[in-house]
Amino acid sequence: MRGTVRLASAATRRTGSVGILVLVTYASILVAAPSARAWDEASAASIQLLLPAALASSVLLCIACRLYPRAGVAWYAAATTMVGVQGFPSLVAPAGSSGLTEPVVLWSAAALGVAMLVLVRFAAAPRVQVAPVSVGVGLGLALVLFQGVAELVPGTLAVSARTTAFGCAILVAVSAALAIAVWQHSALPSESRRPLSAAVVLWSISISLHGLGLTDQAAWSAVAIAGALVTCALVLSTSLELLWQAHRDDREAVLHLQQQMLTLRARAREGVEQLHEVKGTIAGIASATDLIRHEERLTPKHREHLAEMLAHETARLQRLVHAGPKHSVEAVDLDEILQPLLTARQVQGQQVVWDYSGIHVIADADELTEALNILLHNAAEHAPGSPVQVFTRQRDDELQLVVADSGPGVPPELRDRIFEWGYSRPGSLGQGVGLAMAHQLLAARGIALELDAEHTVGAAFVIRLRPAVLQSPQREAALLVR
Amino acid sequence: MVVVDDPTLFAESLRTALALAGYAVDWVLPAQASSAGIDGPSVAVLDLDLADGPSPLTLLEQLVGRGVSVAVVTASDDHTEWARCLELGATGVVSKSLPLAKIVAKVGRLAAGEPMMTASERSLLQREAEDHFLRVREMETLFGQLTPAEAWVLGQLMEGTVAHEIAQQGEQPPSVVHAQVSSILTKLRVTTWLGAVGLANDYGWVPPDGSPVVEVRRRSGA
Repeated sequence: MRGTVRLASAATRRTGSVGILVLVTYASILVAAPSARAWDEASAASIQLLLPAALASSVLLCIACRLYPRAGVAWYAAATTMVGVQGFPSLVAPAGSSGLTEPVVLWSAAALGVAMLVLVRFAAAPRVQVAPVSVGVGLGLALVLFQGVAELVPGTLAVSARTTAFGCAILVAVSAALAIAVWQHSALPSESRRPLSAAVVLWSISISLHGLGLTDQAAWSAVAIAGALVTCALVLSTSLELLWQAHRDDREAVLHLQQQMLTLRARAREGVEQLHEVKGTIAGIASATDLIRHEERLTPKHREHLAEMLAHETARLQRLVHAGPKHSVEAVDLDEILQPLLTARQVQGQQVVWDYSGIHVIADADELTEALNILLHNAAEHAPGSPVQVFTRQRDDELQLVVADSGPGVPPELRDRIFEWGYSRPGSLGQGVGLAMAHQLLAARGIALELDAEHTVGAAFVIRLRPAVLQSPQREAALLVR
Repeated sequence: MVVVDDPTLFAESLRTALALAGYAVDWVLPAQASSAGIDGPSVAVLDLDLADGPSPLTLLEQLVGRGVSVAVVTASDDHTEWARCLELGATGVVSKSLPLAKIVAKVGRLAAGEPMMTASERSLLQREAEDHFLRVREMETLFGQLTPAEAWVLGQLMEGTVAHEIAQQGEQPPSVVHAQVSSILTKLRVTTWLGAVGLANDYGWVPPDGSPVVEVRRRSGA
C-alpha cells in the first residue's frame, strides 16, 4: 500500500512538473510574439502548442516501446506521431498567417478524431503489431493531404463555412466517442487511460470554441487556453509516465533474467553432480555385468550376490535419473513402500507377511526402500524357508518397523558386530556389506537400525521411525487413493 | 593390495575381479583408510568419487606419504582433477568408464612395479592442468585487484541490483558507486557491467558478505 502511494505521488509530481513546463513554454511564446497576446491569437497559440507536445510525446513513447514492449503503447505512439505530423503545416506557416481557415481546422480535427478512433480499435486487437512511426507519419500525411484538398478545392471552404456549428457538433461527438473508446477499450494501463480521455475532451472543447469564433471574448478564450494547456500537460505527462513504466518493466525484466540465470546455474551444477553420480553408477553396473557374464570362476552364491547388488544399483540409477540427485525426507506411506518389495520377494519364493497399516512416517522413500530390501534379502539368506513378519509397533513417541524371521538368529556374541562393514556371520557367503549399507543409509537420515534383543526366535531388525502427522486434506487424499 | 572405496557395486566388482586375477585384496572404507595399517610398498586403489567421509585427495596424500603406490579410479572426465592426483603422487589415474578387465590390467601393472600411464599421457594431462592453473591464476590476479568496496559492488551487480540501489544499500552517493563500477570494468578488462558479471560467474568468483561501508562504520563506532 505504501509503495502504491509512493508511486502515485511520484506520478503526481511528474504531472505537476510537466504542467509547469507547459505553462513556461506558453508564457515564453506570449513574451516572444506580441501578436499572440490578443485573446483569439493566444488561444490559437495554445491549441498549436499541442502539436510539439504530441511530437515530444511520440519520441518518449517510441523510446518506451524500445525499452519494453507494452500493450497499447506503440498505438499511442502512432497516434501522437499522427497528431504532430498533421499539424506540421500549421507550425511552419509564415508568421502572421493562420495557416488553415477555421472550418478546415474543425473538420480536420474531426477527421483526426476519427483516425484516432480507428487506431484505438486496432489497438484492441492483440495480434496486430504496429510500427508507430510509420503508421503515425502515414496517417498524419494523409490528414495533411485532406487539409490541403479542403483548403484548395473551390467550394469546399464555402460549404464548410456554412456548417461550422455542425462541424463543432461532429467534433465533440467524435471526441466523446474517442474518450469513451480510450477509457473502455484501450490496452493502456488505467492510470494512463483516464488522463488521455480527459485530454481528448478538453482538446475538442478548445478547438470548438476557437472554431466557433468565441475565443475573441476573454472568458471563452481563457477556457480554450486552459483546456489546450491542460491537454498538453496530460498528454506529455502520460507519455512520460509510460516511459517511466517501461523503464521499470525493463529493470524488472533484467532482474527476472538474473533470477532465471541463477536458477539455471544452480540446476546446471545439480545436473553436473547428477551426471557424475550416474556415471559412477553405470561404471559399477557395467563392471558387475561384465563379471557375471564373462567370469566363470565366480561361485553361484557370489554371482547371486552380485546380481542382487546389480538389481539395487539399477533401481537406484532409475530413481536417480527420474527423480534427480536430491534426496527428500518427507511423509512417506509405508504400505506404498512395502507393497512392491513384498511382491518381488514373493516372486522369488520368500514368504513375507505384512498387514496394511495406513501409516506414514518421516523418511526418504528411496533409502528406506533400499534398507528394507536389504533386510528382506538378509532374512532370505540366513533364514531360508522361514516366513518373514514385517510389522509396526508404537514405543513412546517413535514408531518401530520390525522385520523378523524365525531362523537361527544371531548368536549373542556376534550381535555387536552385525552392522560392521565387511563382517559376515560364520558360514555366511555374504560379503558383510548389506546390513552395514542399510545401517549407514538410515543413520545418515538420523534413523536407527538395530537388532532386536528381545526377539527370541530368529532374528529381528528394528527401524526406529518418526510417525508423520498428516494434515486432514492429505489424510483424506491418502484414503481416497486406496 | 587394498581397495579404498565406499560400499558400491563398482568397488565390489573391482575387488572381485582383482581377487579372481590372483591378487590378495582387502576392502577398506575411506573412514578407516587413515587409521588402517596400509604401508609401503603395498598398492592401493583409491576411488576419487567418495560420497562421504574424508576427502579423497587427503587420503591420497596420506597413502603416498606412507610409501603406498596409489592407483586412482574415477568417473570424472575432469583432467584437471586427474593432473592434481598425479601432482599429489598418484602413480596413475584410470577412468571407471574403461572395461573392468582393462582397469584390472592397469592396476596389475602398478602391482608389478610398471608405470600405469605413458609419458605422453602424463605430459598431456600436465599441459592441460597448467593451462587451467594459468587461467585460474590470471583470474585470481584480476579479481584480486578489486578493493573490498568494489568486490561488494560487483557482488551486488551479480545479484541484479542496480547502481542507485547499491548506493542506497551501501549508504554512499550514486557517483561513488558509478566510479567503483568504472574501476571494476578497468580492472577486469571488460567494457560493460554485464561483461564483469559474466566473467565473475564463469570464473566462479564468490562475492564477500556484507557491505564494507557498514563494516567500516561499525569498526569506527566501536
